[in-house]
Amino acid sequence: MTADSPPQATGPGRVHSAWLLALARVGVALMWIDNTSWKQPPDFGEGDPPRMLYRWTLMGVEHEVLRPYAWFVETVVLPNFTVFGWLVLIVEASLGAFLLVGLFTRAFALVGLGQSVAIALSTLNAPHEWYWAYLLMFLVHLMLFATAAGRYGGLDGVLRPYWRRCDGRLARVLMRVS
Amino acid sequence: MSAAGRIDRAVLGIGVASLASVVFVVEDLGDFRFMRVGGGSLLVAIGLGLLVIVAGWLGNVVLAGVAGAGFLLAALIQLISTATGNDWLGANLSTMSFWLGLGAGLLVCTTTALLAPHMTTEGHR
Repeated sequence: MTADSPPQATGPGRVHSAWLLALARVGVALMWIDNTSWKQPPDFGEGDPPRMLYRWTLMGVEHEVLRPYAWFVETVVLPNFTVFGWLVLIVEASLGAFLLVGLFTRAFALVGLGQSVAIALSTLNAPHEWYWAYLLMFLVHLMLFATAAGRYGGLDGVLRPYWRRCDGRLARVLMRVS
Repeated sequence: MSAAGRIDRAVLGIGVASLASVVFVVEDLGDFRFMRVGGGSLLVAIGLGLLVIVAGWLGNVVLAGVAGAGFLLAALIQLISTATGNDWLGANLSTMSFWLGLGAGLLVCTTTALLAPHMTTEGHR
């Protein structure tokens, strides 16, 4: 289960809480995994008509949420869309992968926070979007970070006792990101 | 449970997860078909999944690492397949993300067990 920082509940309640945290983490991971499928290289949907990732990125300009972000998308992201597409694919595939097994969870929860904000800034004002969906994405990653959710039913909980006993900078970094 | 036993159990869990992904062969899952599995990817899920379960059962972290490398290789092949407009494995980028997690998890388990042997309770790990 976990070796350190146990939840505050005791007895069976503690075990149940730990597994519920693991369930929430795996559910969030599956969200990212599911949505990796439509970030397809090499064009990522750039073309006529715009599709997939390119179309959704364009929303940040056509249905502006924040003027500086829209300017950034229009002048930096769209002209270099292939680079941006690969970056999004790597980030979202990694989010799904590492949150699924509960490895380096706190670090990836922060990455998820950032990615949730970026997605919200592109699509919040798009037609038919439910703004609470993006707020919930942000909050659930905040929860994964605050609880260090990978320590419960995840690899962080299994491997931290090893890392704690190792000397060196890498072990200290691993302890912080888990 | 000993620290070494916890790693073996985690490895076992990853193997079970790989086998469980076979459920995504079913197309009728609709929106709940989180990844595509079929054709060659079915062999990856079952073959490597069983290998990982054996590794966890025997407490052989090297074998777990080999299987982890196999998952990462499968993920790379899937990425190349999609990027070149092919469908070599009958999977998609979601499957790639899933395999990336299993592969990275297994390799970190192996590396940690090998580099921190003082935590194990048995030899030859």
